[in-house]
Amino acid sequence: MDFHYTSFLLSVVVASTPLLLAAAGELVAERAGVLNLGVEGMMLVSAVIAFAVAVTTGSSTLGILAGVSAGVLTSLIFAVLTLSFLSNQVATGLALTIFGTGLSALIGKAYVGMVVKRLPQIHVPGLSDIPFFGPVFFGQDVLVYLSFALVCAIYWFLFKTHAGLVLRAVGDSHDAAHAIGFPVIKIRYLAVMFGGGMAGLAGAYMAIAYNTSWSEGMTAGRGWIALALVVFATWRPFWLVVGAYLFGSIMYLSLYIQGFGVHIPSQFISALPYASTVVVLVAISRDRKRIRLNAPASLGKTFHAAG
Amino acid sequence: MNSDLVLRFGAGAKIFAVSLFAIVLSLIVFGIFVALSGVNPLDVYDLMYMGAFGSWFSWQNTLLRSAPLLLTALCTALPAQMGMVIIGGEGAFVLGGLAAAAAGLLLSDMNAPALIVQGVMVIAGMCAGGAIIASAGALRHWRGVNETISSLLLSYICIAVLNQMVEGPMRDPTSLNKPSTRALPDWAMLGNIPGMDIHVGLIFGLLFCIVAYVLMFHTTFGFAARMVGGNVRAARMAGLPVGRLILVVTFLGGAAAGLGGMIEVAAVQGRANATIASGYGLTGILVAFLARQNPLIVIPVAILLGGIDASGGLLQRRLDMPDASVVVLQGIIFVILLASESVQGHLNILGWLPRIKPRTSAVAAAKGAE
Repeated sequence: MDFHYTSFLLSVVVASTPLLLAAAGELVAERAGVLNLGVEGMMLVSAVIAFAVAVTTGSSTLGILAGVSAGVLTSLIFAVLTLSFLSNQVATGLALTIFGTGLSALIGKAYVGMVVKRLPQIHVPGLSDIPFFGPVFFGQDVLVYLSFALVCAIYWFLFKTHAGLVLRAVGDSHDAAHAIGFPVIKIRYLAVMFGGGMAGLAGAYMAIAYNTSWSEGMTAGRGWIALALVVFATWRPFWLVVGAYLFGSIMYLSLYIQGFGVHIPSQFISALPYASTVVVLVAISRDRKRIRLNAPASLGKTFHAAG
Repeated sequence: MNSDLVLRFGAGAKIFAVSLFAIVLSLIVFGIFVALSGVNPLDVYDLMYMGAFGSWFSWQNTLLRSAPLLLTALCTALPAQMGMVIIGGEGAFVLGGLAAAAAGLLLSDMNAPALIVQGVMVIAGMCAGGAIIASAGALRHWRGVNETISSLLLSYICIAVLNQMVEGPMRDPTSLNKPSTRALPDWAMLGNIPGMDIHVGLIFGLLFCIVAYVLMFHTTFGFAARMVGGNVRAARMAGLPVGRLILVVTFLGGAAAGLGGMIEVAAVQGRANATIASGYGLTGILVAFLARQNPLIVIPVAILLGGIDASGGLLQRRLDMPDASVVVLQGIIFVILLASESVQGHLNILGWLPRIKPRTSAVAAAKGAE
């Protein structure tokens, strides 16, 4: 079998985009100090909602919008529980994933076997026809470009604006931020909802661009990989892109490597994203200074304004 | 002494009341969900009761499903006593099953006596599961790596190792559709409890829960471990070997889940294959949180969730509902429990019962004293 670089790169882009979208949202939430382990659940619910809306209306745009709204709504369950009811973030995130897995299967049962129109690829006359570069750089669907734009926007917001500085301050020390007078809970609500919206976008991408049909548990652990990715990138937006495309290539290769006639145990390759994240975690934890610079110090801690 | 007992009983009753409230409310919310999808909720409740606790047959089914949950719940509940949130029970379960299958096949080929084969399988399963969770504990203690994330990642690696082994080196060439290891000989399998259709794994699980409870709440070791959970710095000042305590407790938690995997292989499947990674680890986390991380309360909670699990099949057959419906119920119970727990902690709705001190207040007090 010939190895087509163009089709390989195109498939890698498609495999990496949902990871990048979901991880970018989670990064913002974690920078605000909230660890939401419910990414997988939010992705599944928004995937099935996006698919259902796209099938019934025939419009990809409406599907994507519905997916984003579904992601925001499911993340609101998490936000209310952890931020207003002060429940444990880890437990609540897991609860959200279990709930989302079940709920999406329940809703999706009616839609199994249906097919939706794939999200169209943008065609720029002239540019898209350049061999190799054309399809890779100018022939992707709109969400791929959006994912890059959003990562840049997130970087700009977090590190170049006052609001981003406040968000990071809340994530580093909610007590200090509260003492200064920043609305800790409100900022965290917004960050969690943004994370939910991005997970929703990732879910919608899975249902109408990566696949064109719904199947139970179709995200196949991508939500968990996105969580690992945030740690892998040590909470820095541009490293997310590197990580997402690395993990995306690995996921693609683990599926198709036998087709290329290479005899590497495919299961070991599918474990590579997780193994490399563990290695990165161990490696960066040796360098305490770097971890302290990037990791939000209040990550996962419940904030309760005293008195 | 007497008033202490009253207080304890009151606290226990309150936990029970809150859990019961959460479960009843979850059933109502679940009923609304079911009604929205066009099924009569009363039929669903009725079938769920029938499928879980309605007859001796369904009771046996329920107990069979609760046996692994008892053990995977301990994988979260034991480290939780030290303030660690471990969610890698699935990985320890799977690796334990794989190690047990490897040991069992090796020894039964050598025609070792059945009791020795089973004994070594138990040890292999517990060591494999314990090692994986203890490594998450070690990474946390010596490297400062978040144990929640690392145990989850390790869990995915364990599942990949299982798949690789049963598809590659350990594959039985005759297993075509579903790659598996060779089957254990019948004489090496774990038998049933006399007079019932329930394998002895249930007894292993119950014993492990009771032993874990006694160890954590009625020995100096357990006291030391819980002190580390309350305040690491204070524990260190008191001269406790924090690192060793973390290693031992995380190992025990992993060993429990590993034993669960061994039982799944030696009493249910008879061989190792991808089906042993079927989510017992994930449900175990839910059981541990519902039981407030108390090894003794794990027992009734595991039986309850085992029952919900057991009724899933009946719902699917009779009402044509997806298998995942009971997963929705599990998720709703989890969410509502977390909410009601914090609501009662702050508003104290059930005011007539003695107020339980939230665990965090002890930590805060210790920190304030520093």
